[in-house]
Amino acid sequence: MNNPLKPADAAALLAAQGIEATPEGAEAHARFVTQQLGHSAKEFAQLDFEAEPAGYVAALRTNTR
Amino acid sequence: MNDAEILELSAAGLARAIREKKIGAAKAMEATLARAHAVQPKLNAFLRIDTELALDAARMADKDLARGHLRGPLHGVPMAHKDMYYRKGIASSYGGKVGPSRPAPTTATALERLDAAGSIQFGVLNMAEFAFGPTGHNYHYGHCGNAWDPSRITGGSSSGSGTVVAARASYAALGSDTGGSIRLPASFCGVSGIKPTYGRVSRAGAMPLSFSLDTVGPLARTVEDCALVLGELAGPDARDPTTEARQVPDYMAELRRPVAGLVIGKPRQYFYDGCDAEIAAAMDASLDVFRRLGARVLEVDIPDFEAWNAAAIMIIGAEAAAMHGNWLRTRPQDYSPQVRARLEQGMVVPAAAYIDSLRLRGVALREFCDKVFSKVDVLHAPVVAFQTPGIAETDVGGGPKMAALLAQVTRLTRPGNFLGVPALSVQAGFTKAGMPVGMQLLGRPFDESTLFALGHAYQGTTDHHRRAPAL
Repeated sequence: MNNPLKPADAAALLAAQGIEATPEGAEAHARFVTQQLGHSAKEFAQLDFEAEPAGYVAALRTNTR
Repeated sequence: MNDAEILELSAAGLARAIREKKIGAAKAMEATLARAHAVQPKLNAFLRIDTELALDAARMADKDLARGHLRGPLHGVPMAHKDMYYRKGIASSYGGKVGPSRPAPTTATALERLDAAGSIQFGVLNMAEFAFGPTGHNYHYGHCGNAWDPSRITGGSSSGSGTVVAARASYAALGSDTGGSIRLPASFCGVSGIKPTYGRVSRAGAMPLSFSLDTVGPLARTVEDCALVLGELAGPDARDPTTEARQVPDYMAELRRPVAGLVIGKPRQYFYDGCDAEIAAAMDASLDVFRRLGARVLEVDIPDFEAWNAAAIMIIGAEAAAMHGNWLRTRPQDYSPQVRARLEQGMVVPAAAYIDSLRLRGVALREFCDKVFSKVDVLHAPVVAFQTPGIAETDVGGGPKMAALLAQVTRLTRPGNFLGVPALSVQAGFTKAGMPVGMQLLGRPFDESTLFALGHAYQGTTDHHRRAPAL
């Protein structure tokens, strides 16, 4: 399990991009991103070194009927 | 034919009647406009109705036909569209207050193609703010009401599109689908809707939400109408480099393809987790119809969607946040709390996670096709697992209940966007409360034809799509 993103870090990341988050918002954003990273971590870890986004278009074209 | 009879025609039926000069385009437009104005106070579905312009255009269509000029397969068919498709010289709202707010410099390819097919646009439709909401709430222009019960949600983001088609106030309507935004309102409002394969329909001139996931498609009363409209929309477009060059089938001919012998997959996992009993029963009943049509139903194992959904959520969040960044910094107060919160979430997604999400798509699509489409021709599932909730009870804004609600509403539709496969939503019955229930059929990339053939055969032996709400 990855370490959860801290609300203060989420707020700092937003502030660095010119956006001011409320304390409640920062907490919710940190929780949200932590959840998504947790759900996808295993699949991301299994990706081939060479996998790139264009692989999707190739899959779309070759998995037709 | 009186107005009520005209309004009960499908788009294909009306096009045929106009072509055969049994009904004038102006007469059909008058009936449609009267219906649109009549339902608007109850549904809040239109953001603009162009009464005089539309009547002039319909009269011109009649003159063209009298001179022997048939513009195309949709000659004279009235349609209103989600207010996110550019029309040169007109500013779209995108369902929001922030935005370019300038007249569009060009017309969307989708509108150009419908114009060329002879359809007449008579208005623009309410939608979720920036197409970033799955329920049909809109805090700027007012929430959209479901034609079957205006106190309940329409689904979104193509909220107006779903409810006006159900209300017989437009023969079809463009929607867009990034996480379920065609299929959800189609299901909640009891109409048909096709989310085409990613790359099948041009997005040029359509408001972007998440350019990796956005798809353009119609909602209509019947599967035949979806096939008719998609046939006009689909195909390569130099203005959208993500469109595929492959030939577009004759969908209207493909509708008549035999369905006996096709294999329909019923997922063993995920789609029925916590599913409402009435919805599950409607799904079983629809599978029985397919069996009677000669199709075989096979239970199939499907991959784990949880990781793919998380990846899709990070893609849509990061891409939307990037496009809205300037407005989010300078005019945050002009977003509703929910959209603002979701855009802020997207700003926190790490770049590597966003790119990993995109890298995962090709792997996921191959795995899905290998595991599912090696055994069945299409996957059959509910669009949503719960009954249509009220507008008030789902009015969660950007508060702590938001994430759970959004995840619940889009749980069964989002995988189709991550994979980019075509998905057709079809009316599958009604709950005891009288609200529509929708099923979705998912197919291989670019195989909309099989979905249409199955959906059309289903509607040939059922009457759910013929029932109209008593507004």
